[in-house]
Amino acid sequence: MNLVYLGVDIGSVSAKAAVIDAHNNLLFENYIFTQGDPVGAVRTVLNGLTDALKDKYRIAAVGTTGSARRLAGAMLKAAAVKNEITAHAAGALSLFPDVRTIFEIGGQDSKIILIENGIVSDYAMNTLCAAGTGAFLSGQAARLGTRLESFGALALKSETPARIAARCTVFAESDLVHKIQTGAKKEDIAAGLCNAVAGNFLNNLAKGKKITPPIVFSGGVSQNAGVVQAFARLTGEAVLTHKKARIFGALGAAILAKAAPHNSRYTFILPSARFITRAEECTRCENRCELVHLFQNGKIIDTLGARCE
Amino acid sequence: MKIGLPRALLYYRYQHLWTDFFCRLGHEVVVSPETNPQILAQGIWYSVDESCLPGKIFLGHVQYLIGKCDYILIPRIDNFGINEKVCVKLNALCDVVRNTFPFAPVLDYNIDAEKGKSEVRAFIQLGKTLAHSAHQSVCAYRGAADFARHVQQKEYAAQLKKLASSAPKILLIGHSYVLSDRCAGAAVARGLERLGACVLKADKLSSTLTAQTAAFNAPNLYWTFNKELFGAAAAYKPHLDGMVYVTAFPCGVDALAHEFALRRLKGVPSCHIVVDEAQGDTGLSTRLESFMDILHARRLAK
Repeated sequence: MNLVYLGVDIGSVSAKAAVIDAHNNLLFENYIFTQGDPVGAVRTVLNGLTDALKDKYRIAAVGTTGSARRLAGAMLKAAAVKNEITAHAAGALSLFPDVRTIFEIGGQDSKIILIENGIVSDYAMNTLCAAGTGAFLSGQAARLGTRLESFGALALKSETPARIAARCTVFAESDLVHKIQTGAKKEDIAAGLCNAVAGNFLNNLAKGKKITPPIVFSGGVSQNAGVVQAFARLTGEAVLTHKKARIFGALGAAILAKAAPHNSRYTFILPSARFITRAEECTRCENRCELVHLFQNGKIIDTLGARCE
Repeated sequence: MKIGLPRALLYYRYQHLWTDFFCRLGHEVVVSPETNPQILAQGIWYSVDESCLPGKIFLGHVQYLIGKCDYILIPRIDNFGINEKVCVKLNALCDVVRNTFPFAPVLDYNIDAEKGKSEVRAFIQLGKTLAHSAHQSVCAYRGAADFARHVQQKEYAAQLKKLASSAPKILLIGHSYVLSDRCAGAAVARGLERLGACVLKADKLSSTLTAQTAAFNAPNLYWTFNKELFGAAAAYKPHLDGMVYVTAFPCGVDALAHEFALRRLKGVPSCHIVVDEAQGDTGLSTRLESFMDILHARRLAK
């Protein structure tokens, strides 16, 4: 049996899994929507891999990342539970060893990661506001009656992009409605939104940061050709993307799991185990922590969310 | 008399001065408890939406103290001298409280050094309200000020000892009332310590040292508290692995001071944590974990 490493990235919008061999080659991957159920998402995303892996490979270590990394980590007895920034950087670095700047726009967050000599030197992440992320684009695509997948192609058709402010989702939406009412073409509005997303990212998140090429653009929004083009135009640099860019986090989690001390017990029995989460407000002190207990087959295996010691 | 001290804003700066001053004059001091979700919820309820988080927390503490003491101490500070200003919130605090809680027994004093109203004169005024002679108040003030300085020096000495630690040393730069408040920034220090960092705080400082460094590095900054933080950061900088700016949403003074510090204090990795009333932990842990990863990777590379 060949040893392989599994990385799982459970994000706000989508769940990703990647399986690599000892040389960081990507063997299998899966991508599904989380649909508000991270426990179910872990199960579904792994179910998709089980048949392909079951008799030929043994999973030596599991790494998890994404906003549900702790939950997924407890379910899978992960060797590495890593934040999205470190995981993304590790994933991107394995495919682009020379990368200096990573733009990442996911469902609800956006990040810029700067890399020096192969290690992360600085980062920034959106605070307090999710304007200009994937959730914003999918909302606006729906408003335009376009599918998200064809949004980028539509934007590329535009010759005179509409000017739309994306500093705030609400203002952007009123801008957009105004543009529609004044008769702007759909493709111009789509292109305007792509420009707004890229402009917003560079003006806020990347403000004061030195953007050095090569630039890699990852996360779900990197599949949108309109935003890629807008970034290239605004930075004046080539912006590299990868067709697997949306699984960079999962890939990185697998790589980090390989590097962490590990002795995996994960044997594909997960799909049959029953996982239940139960939320509770702790009343033992005045902090009133919001606890989430994770049960496996009725037995409590982890509690998340405690702020107290 | 029972004097109530709201455990918010200036309390974190003046707690020893105030407590000792009132004790010397024979009064009892009641301090509201550490901020908890109920106090925060009360504060949010009584505040205007646009108020900053520490301001909201303050009103929650005042509300808690009403009915539990004879007076609630809420000083007014305008300035400590030319180019020594404080946030407008602190200029207006006692008026805000008087208008929000018309029956709150507010005890105030006024510092406006540009108009000759120094701290010692403010404390004489304070003592007069409580029926003490100027002589009594001055003696109590001198003793309390000595005591407060002594505590400050002790805290500073304790922090200097931490510099010998082999763990990654991270300086938290933020107002005491943000760094120490349970419902504001206290989670930052706790989170970093849990990740194995040695946490230092810029509000634990030697007043003479920081005044000198600040005057040298930031001659244009006129907010006294931010000057001190900036001076402390500059003084600690050579010993640090990282700096974390902790600001409360939406603090206007810190928004400017942070940008200023970023330009002047280069060369040490830094990150910026904004705390708000939403109380989400996930975003915080992601930011702190990745920041620690950066510091560890830098150490390994060296």
